[in-house]
Amino acid sequence: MVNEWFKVVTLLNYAKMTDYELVAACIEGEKNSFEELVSRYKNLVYSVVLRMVTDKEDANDLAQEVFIKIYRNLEKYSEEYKFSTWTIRIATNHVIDWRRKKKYETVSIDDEENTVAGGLMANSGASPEDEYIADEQSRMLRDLVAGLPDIYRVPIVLYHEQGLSYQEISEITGEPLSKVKNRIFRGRKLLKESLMNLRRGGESYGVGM
Amino acid sequence: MVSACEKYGELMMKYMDGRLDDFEQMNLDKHMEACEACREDFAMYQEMLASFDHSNEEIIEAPEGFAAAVMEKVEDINIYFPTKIRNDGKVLDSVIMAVWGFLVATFVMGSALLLYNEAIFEWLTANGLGVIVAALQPIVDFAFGISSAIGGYTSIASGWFGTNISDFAIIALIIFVGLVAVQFYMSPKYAQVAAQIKKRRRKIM
Ligand SMILES: [Zn+2]
Repeated sequence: MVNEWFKVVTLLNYAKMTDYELVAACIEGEKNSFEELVSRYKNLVYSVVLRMVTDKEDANDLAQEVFIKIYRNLEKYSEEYKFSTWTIRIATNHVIDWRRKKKYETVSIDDEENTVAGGLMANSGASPEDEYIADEQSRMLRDLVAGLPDIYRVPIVLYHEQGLSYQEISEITGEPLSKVKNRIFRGRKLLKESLMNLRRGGESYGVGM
Repeated sequence: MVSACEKYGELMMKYMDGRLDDFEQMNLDKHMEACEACREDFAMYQEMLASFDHSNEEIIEAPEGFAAAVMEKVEDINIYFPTKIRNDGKVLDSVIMAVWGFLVATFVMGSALLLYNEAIFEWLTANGLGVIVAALQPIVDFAFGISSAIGGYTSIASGWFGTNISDFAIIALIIFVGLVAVQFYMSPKYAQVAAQIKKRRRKIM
């Protein structure tokens, strides 16, 4: 009973603590304090990951792995960065690693197209007509984004879908601002070209790079 | 002509960033009247921006049970953090907790004794615990002695309490004070620990 009471008081305390204080508590062996960090950043991590991999199950697994990575590397977190920045950096790096490994496994193109089509069918039901078109268009664009090489995809997702600034992205990727800008500009151009190819009824679905 | 279009391409990037001013917009419009390639490009960028905005608005939430699933895996991880300060933390913590618990218990019991000593003593005597009554009586007398020495403030206060606040409210108040005390005791700890870890981190890493 006393333990329960203490747990409630401790959880109330965690809710008031800063990210860095929670990290400190984790380092001191209070694993429960990590749960507060997870609930603070789970939506952020999950959305970043989902926007890069598009498949919900993959995103769930990867986002969980990201938090395990965060836990193992808690000591490397330095207060000069926002915890969210650090978290997104780990998330993007993890997705990039995962994709690199996945490339070695052979994935049949038919399967991939089936998942895309399946996703479209599942969501098409109740939404009004123009909402559906908007959904379909952004899904199409998302697939094109997913086809971009990592160096363009990461900043494009973070800037256009996650709403981060150039400065924040530069902190996440560790690249200078000018480079981040160039990557985003180049990424947009690649996307524009593949959109045009689609419009012209071109056969190439992804971005040929 | 290619380099001119390149310049307008840069303006389109500014447009994508939402930083295109009226003058630049005018220039771009003027050029696009004459240049079909740029007009097409711009239409694509507009469409792209609309799609991005659409998915930007979408609130994505982690699946249900996400935190629990992560915590289950974290429980299995045994990791030693070199910057950890209180290696003997557990022992020290339980000592502090024991002392603190004793103080809170004394406070709660003392308050109860002061307010309800007659009822408690009657109950104790009736249950064959007269020994405890004998031991506590001098303490209670001493406490009342102090309060009358202070000058009747306590009796004014307890009189006010007695007439204005119900028994339940007094018990709730005591528990509340205890809770706040524990909260107060626990709050600054992490900030200090965080500062210490930060220092150690600079030394080690
Ligand atoms: Zn032009």
